[in-house]
Amino acid sequence: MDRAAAVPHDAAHDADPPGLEELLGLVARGDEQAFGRVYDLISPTVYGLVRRILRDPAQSEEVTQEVLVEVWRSACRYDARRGSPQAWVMTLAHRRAVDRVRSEQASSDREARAAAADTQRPYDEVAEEATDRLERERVRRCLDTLTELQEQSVRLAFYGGYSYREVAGLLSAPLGTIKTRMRDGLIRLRDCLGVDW
Amino acid sequence: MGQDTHTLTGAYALNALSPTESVRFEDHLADCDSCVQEVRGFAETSARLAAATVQAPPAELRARVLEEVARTRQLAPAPERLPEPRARRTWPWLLGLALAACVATIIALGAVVLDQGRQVDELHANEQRIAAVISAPDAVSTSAEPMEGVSVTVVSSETLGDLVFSAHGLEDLHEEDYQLWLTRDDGSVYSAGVLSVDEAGFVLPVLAEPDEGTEGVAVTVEPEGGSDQPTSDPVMAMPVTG
Repeated sequence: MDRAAAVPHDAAHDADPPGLEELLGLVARGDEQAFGRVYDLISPTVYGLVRRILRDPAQSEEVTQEVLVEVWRSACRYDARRGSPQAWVMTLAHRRAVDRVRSEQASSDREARAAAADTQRPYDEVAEEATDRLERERVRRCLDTLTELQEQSVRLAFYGGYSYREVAGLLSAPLGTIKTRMRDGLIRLRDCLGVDW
Repeated sequence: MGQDTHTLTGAYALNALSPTESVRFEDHLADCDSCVQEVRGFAETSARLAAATVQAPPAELRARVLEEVARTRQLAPAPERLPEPRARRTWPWLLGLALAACVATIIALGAVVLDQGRQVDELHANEQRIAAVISAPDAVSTSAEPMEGVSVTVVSSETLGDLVFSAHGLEDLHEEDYQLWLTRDDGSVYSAGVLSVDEAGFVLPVLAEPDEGTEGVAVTVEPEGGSDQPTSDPVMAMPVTG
């Protein structure tokens, strides 16, 4: 599978560094050094997503740590036939972040998060790789092709960690409509981004 | 219902369903190849959405993660490839549960109160005691996904003194059985019977009567027909409440 080639990796390393899939194979056999490289490859995306959802830096660090340790623990359960390693990791990360949000239902600035999910986070001081910038622009362009309701539904659920019921409440739309908009929004995004799974 | 359930692929892929709805949708996925395919495509799409949020974590996190990794045991590849059952032994894993490999799983367990009325529909109607537990006013339900693709739900009622265990997504075993155990706070365990798993990975709900001191359930892979005491490490373990 040539998906590993799509992993944005640090070109400053060697000429042909192993991709994420290959590294996960080594990690599955207990290779801690390979895990260090996996950490370097995926932690910015995991942390970025978790932080986007949770907002709180300390909690985001905790959840990022949980996700990465989970990657270590269950590396052997990654099955390349069922998806890319990136999707596997990000599914873990999103689920963990959302679990954390829902376990704290009682607390909280739901509205603040709604507003946050809705606006583009300023990119932090970290040096932005050209590949990251391209990817962000592509995603933003594709999000722009969605209808307003599709985009809001996908954004609030994905970047905001809201359930579809909460999204329906926030957007004052019927539940059935939101379910459908999430699905057709994702279909449009999938096609726009050229995802071929 | 089929058509309507199918439209949940998007909400499911975005983790926007309640735990109950997720479990029910996963039941649907077991029989819907096109849904599985769509969910995979959405997971890939989501990964791209995530890639647009890149932000370097604080530098010191790396050392913390590597340090935790160095003292974290990895999961075995998959239940059906567990080593042959070893000689009978005590349950050191129970005492050391907090340090054991499944600690992250235990932490991840989210207790949820399921929609009890609908649960009844999903279970076998003739199992009246099971239905009684699930619909008891004081029923407490705990769900977990102890490993990828496996969902476990335990419902218990203090007034009835019974507990119902159900699961789906278990791999088919050959010449071995899954056995359910109740675990006590003193580290002892007792059998709640062998699980009956159908071809689709669904476990027939099991009724058990936990005694005083029962604090959790565990499942092991045992020689066909089950054992008096567990002979292998659990493939899943979770606490029970109530």
